[in-house]
Amino acid sequence: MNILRYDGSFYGLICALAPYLYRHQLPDVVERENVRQPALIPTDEEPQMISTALAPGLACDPQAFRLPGVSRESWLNAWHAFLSEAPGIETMIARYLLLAIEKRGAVDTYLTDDRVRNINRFAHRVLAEKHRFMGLLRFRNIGQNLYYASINSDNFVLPLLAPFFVERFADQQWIIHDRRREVAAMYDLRVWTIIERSAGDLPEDSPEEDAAQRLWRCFFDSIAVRERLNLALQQKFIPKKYWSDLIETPGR
Amino acid sequence: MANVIGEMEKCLDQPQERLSGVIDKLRILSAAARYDVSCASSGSSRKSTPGGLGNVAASGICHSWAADGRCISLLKVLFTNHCAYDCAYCLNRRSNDIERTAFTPEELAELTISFYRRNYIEGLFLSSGVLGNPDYTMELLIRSVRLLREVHGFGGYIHLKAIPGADPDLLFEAGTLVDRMSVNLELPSHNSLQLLAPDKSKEQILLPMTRIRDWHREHNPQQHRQPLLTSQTEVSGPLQSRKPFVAGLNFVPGGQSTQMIIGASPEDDRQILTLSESLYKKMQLKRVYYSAYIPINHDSRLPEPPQPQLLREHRLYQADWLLRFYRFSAEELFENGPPTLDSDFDPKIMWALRHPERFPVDANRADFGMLLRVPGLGVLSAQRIVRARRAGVLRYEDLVKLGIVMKRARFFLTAPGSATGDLGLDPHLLRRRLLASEPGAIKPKQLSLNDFPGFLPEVWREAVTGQF
Repeated sequence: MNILRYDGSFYGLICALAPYLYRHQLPDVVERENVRQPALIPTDEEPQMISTALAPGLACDPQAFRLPGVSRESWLNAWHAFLSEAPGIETMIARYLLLAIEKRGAVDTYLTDDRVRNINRFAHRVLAEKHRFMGLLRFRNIGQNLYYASINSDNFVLPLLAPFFVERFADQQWIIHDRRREVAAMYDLRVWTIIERSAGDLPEDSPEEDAAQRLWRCFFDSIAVRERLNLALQQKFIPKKYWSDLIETPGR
Repeated sequence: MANVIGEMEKCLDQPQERLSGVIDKLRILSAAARYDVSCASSGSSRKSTPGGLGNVAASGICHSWAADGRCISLLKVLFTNHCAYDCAYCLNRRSNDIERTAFTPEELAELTISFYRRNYIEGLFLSSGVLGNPDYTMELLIRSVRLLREVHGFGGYIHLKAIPGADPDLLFEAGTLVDRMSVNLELPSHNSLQLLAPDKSKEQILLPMTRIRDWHREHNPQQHRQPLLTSQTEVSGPLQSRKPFVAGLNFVPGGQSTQMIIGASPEDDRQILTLSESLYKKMQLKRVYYSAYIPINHDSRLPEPPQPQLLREHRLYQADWLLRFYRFSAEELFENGPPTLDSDFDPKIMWALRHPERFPVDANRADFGMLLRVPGLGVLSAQRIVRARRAGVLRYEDLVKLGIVMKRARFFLTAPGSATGDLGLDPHLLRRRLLASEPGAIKPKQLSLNDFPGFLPEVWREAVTGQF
């Protein structure tokens, strides 16, 4: 039994998978290094455990990303699907990449093939949540030109959101805190990085923040046309799970 | 008025020295702007300057949704609700006794920046009542927008209302600063305009619209290679996406839009959509917005419908989408039928029911343009079909796998393996089948003895208790 372990990053996954894909094979199990889930049928010894040791600075074979037949679109699809962190997504990606190699670049026309469909479905889910947070994310001012936002996303959307907000708010320092994964994206006017940050580590608002928030709530309440009240429609667009991180209060 | 007072209390529960003035203005001037329906922040694309603040996403982003279910994308306010005009339908008309106020350009710019930095909004939607005269008002708007762009380095979206009757030079100047401009058509015909908005004339509205179109054409040549509307016969194949705009002199890169009030005047759907179509074609508008008339003022010239015509508004938007993205023309939508849209079905089904000879459509052979006409298929579904059928024949199950909702499409779309009983139905029967699958169209009901005529309650009671 081939059990493949990787460090939890997309880069690590591809490095670990590449040797298999070149041989047109699939590993039996792919798992993250720090997530230990006992195998269904326990074996005495862990046989043929292959672990990728990806210490920082140790690059993997650059050939890993030059899989023949995998187009830019396919790479993006695979990466977006990976960010969903769905159970078993690693195997789905492996199957998808294998099909991509087989079909020589035309893989994304096979929209009815389950291997392609699964990847598209998860990729779509991730991109949809990213788009949602592009609008629903709320920054709070926590100091001189320093802004903080906290999210609790189903998918790991930080790597997609950060470049968007770098482009948009290039002249302000900001932190986007993913409470579920206990990580945060930080931008310091030059580059953005993802750092660890515990879920309870919430900073204090600056003194001006309260006034801005009251202005926003005031605007939010007075822009609604009373004659057309439609709370069900509002909730359809902003599901309740996002309400707690907003400044405004929907549902009134 | 009770509403407005309630709001005032809500917004003023903790008055603060510096901002109390602004919060009052914001409350009044956003409430005054809420009947404006335009909300889009899409259609323009603006790269951020290196190290600067703000950009425009071509897709448009909604940041919140108000209690009426409408998207909040832009900070939508009036500069002032003082107005020299007296339009019958408008909340801010001269003869209404309401609280009047105005922002200063500085206040407005600061407010916009403070909201934008917190990711509350995509940008600013700025309209205004006419303060003094149109030129003066336009100058104030320009000053606010210039402050945002030049002093605050704001690169976000700005939608500006052109004040009817303002000097063309001012219009041009404003256009170079903003992403989209709009001139409100207000009402769908000249006669209605004369009756309900006596201070505005058709020429006064159409002239600035024409000017903006010409300037836009001149300064955005790449956007005009392809007409926004193409007839079904001209092109087939997926719609071409537009190239992002390159730097240079930007004159309203997001084009212009307009809006009109539905249900305050007697025009039928056919007239309205024919007008929209000509606006899209001749004026090259990006959007026409429809707003169901809500009686705010009591005026003998206006109807007083008990409910705003929301369903009609919805159908008009659906038909508008058919004009812009589905290659329909207003004329063919209404051929062999009445000049109003069907209230039971969306306009695409309405058209399909009137043209049984065009269906069923073969999913494996039909061209893109015809796939677009199949009820239940959207642009994305049609694109997916075209792409997926390159890899092999699509069977009925494959269509489902592509994520196509077959609820309506199964009556119009054929593929190997589709249920033959659903296809080629006579329109009357099809109408009933479609209605039955529409939630809420036919309500199931528990039968009751009272439903039977001639059944007296006394007799009924005796029958139940066994007494005679």
